[in-house]
Amino acid sequence: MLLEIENLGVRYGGITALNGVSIAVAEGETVLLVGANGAGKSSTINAVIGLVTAASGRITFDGKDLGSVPCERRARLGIGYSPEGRRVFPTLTVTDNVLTGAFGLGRARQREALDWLVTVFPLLKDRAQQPAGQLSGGQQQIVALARAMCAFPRLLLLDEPFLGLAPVWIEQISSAITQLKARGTTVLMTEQMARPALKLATRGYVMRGGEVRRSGTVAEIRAVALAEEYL
Amino acid sequence: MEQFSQAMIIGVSLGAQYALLALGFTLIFGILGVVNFSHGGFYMLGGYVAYSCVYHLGLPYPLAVLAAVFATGALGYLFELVLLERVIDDHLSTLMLTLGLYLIVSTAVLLIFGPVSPEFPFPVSGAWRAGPIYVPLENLVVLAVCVCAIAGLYALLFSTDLGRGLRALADDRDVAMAQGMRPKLLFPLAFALATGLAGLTGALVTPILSLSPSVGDPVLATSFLTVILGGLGSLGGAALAAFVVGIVEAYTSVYFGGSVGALVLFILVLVILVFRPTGLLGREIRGA
Amino acid sequence: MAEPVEGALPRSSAGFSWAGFPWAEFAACLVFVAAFAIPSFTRSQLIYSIANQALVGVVAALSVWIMLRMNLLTFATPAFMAIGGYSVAILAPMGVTDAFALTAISFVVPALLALPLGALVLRLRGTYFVLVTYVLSEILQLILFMTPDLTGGSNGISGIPAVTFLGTELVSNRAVLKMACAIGLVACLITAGVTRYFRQHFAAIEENEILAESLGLVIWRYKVIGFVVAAGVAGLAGFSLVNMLLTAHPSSFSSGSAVDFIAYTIIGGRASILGPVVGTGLLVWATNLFGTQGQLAQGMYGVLILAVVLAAKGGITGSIATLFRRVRGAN
Repeated sequence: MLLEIENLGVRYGGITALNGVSIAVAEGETVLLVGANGAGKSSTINAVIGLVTAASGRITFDGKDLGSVPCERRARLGIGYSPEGRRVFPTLTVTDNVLTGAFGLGRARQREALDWLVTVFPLLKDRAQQPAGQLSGGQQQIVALARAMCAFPRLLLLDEPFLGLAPVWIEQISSAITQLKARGTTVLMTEQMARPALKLATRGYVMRGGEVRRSGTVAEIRAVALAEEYL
Repeated sequence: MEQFSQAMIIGVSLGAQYALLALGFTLIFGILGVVNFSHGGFYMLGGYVAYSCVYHLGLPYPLAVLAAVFATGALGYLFELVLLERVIDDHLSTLMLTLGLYLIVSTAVLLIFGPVSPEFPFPVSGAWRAGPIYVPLENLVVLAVCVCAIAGLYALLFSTDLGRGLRALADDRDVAMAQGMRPKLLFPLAFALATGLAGLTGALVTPILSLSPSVGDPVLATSFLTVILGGLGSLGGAALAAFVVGIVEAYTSVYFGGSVGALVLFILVLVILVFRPTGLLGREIRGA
Repeated sequence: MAEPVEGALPRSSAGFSWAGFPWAEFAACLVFVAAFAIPSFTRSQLIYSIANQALVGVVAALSVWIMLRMNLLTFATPAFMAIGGYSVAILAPMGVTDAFALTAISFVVPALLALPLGALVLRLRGTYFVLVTYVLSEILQLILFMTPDLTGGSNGISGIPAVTFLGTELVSNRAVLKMACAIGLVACLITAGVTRYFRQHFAAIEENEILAESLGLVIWRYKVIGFVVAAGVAGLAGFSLVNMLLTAHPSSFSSGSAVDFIAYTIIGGRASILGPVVGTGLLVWATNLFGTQGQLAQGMYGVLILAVVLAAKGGITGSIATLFRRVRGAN
């Protein structure tokens, strides 16, 4: 397994956000976390990247226990992160935003990454010098996605990449994620709007109340999601 | 006309100095979320380091200025790394720490050098004339160095990986950390950069204006003024506001005299703070 | 908020609980009452002078402390002191010398000015508030210099007639000191009253402003109340200072002195009203030990501030309380 989450618990103050969550993601898979708002999807992602600390349980990435690895070193291990709400750096230009994803890797590698990303996302070329804060939501999501990919991570964490986007952008971003998958990138993504995300996923988990309720193949998750009205 | 152009030159020269101070101040606020009450102290310290290097070590003035930059930068680096870092997320505590540092630094200078202003003249004198325009050479030198320093800072911030990282940390610390930027490495650097600039300004300007242990107070006030006017945390805003403040100050002192200009600026700043806390070129910044 | 914590000690047996009694406030007021006795013990002019300085400082520190209750740091104390002090200095030569009237005036005038100001400014977040108060202090200094007809400009106002108490002029050093004690007691009672009455609101604001707001507390209203009272208390300090010096001069209210009052409060300890009282007393006394080298005291304040922020979060009173609890726990 590339990523293994075992019995993860997360608390904010007195509130339990995650309780006994176990999730496994194998190399090359695209795993989807489905659930309503507050189900614990984002907390799971944030625990993997290290923005929230685990109160209990273990997260291992490529066999390495992440417990003692601070957030700012996890990126270097090969984890890319596209946060909920996109959170591009508003005052940085589009190019600068993307390049922050490869911070400290040297100009040559940054150049190489940017050249490739521009072919996947032509937007990055058209809007290269524009401050990312001025872009539309869909454009910002592309910037956030490119930023997460810039260091060619082995695991890509996508937190609600379709949230609040128009169908035309959902299509573009879906096709971009498909291209990234083709490069062999492993993806762990969350989505409330499960329908477009299910097209991309190979496997999924249903979360509710900070716990994993079901796991299974895309077809099984689709059935559960339909029953519980996530679609 | 002569008076008008004269005031313009003084204003621009003041503006360049204020820009160096305000850029450092706003850098610290933007990146670390810290209001640096010791900023004036680093300016004052820069002046005294340069003075000591010239009069006690016999160094030529340019080297003394460099020494001042390194000394103030190093002190800033250590202060951030050893003390500020421990309470970095509590804005009241960071503010108190910088205030405490200022009190310590100014008292130390007072102990070592005494309360009397030392004789520390600018090494270049004379003036450059072109028709009715008359510019003291010292102002030109200061202006040139300040402009170079501002250009250098912009180059660092906008065309290096380090600068990109610093700006990303200022925009969104959590996400920047998730991209691999290490605050523990970059925060002391940012602080050192800012205090080094304050030290540079002090080393350059105190020989022209004055040097005394209390010279940091008005500098802090001006930095506040400039940075609020430009929008806390905004680099472009700080640079623009610095020239506005410098020019307003120069013209009001030439045409009205006294403190009218300062009062006008302070009241303008108060109004801005209340009705448009993001400043002239400001943007929303994270909760501070 | 404070009660349940202390109430945890099982003391209430006969229906009355000492646990809820405001011990700290009571003790702080006692300090001022005790200060009245100083002239009966000594005729030393030095002690009179130190005591007077401390009494002015402690009132100013109480003003800082009120704002710190809400996690707000203020540099505006000297500005409101100046408004209170200058009000007295302007009105006294016109014949208003009654101690009660002047005390009321020195509280009410700055408080009234603080009301619209606070309503505007206190919607801002912490950092902006700090900057606004700093700017306010600077503006007031400039205004003092620019209104020579009203405030005497850079000369200030001197030759202020002595305060009268029930028709008696308070001219001797002993009488002036007693007046300072009386002002201090009034300031302490007001501070204690307001912070006790609103303690739950202030505690909620200090704890977590956003949460308090989401629970329906109209935050800025309570902040304005605190700000107005803090301004009034600062005005009392200004009155006390003018009464001590018999002059009102811009340099007495320099924005730099705000740092001293903040130092007194933080170093004394911000958790209880005894903090500013103890902090001011000790620091003013220590400052006088430096004698002619008084400016060096600033360095000591600096070191102590670093120590409090980094090591002893509770300041002097907080550390003593912790120590006391530990000793009692060990027994």
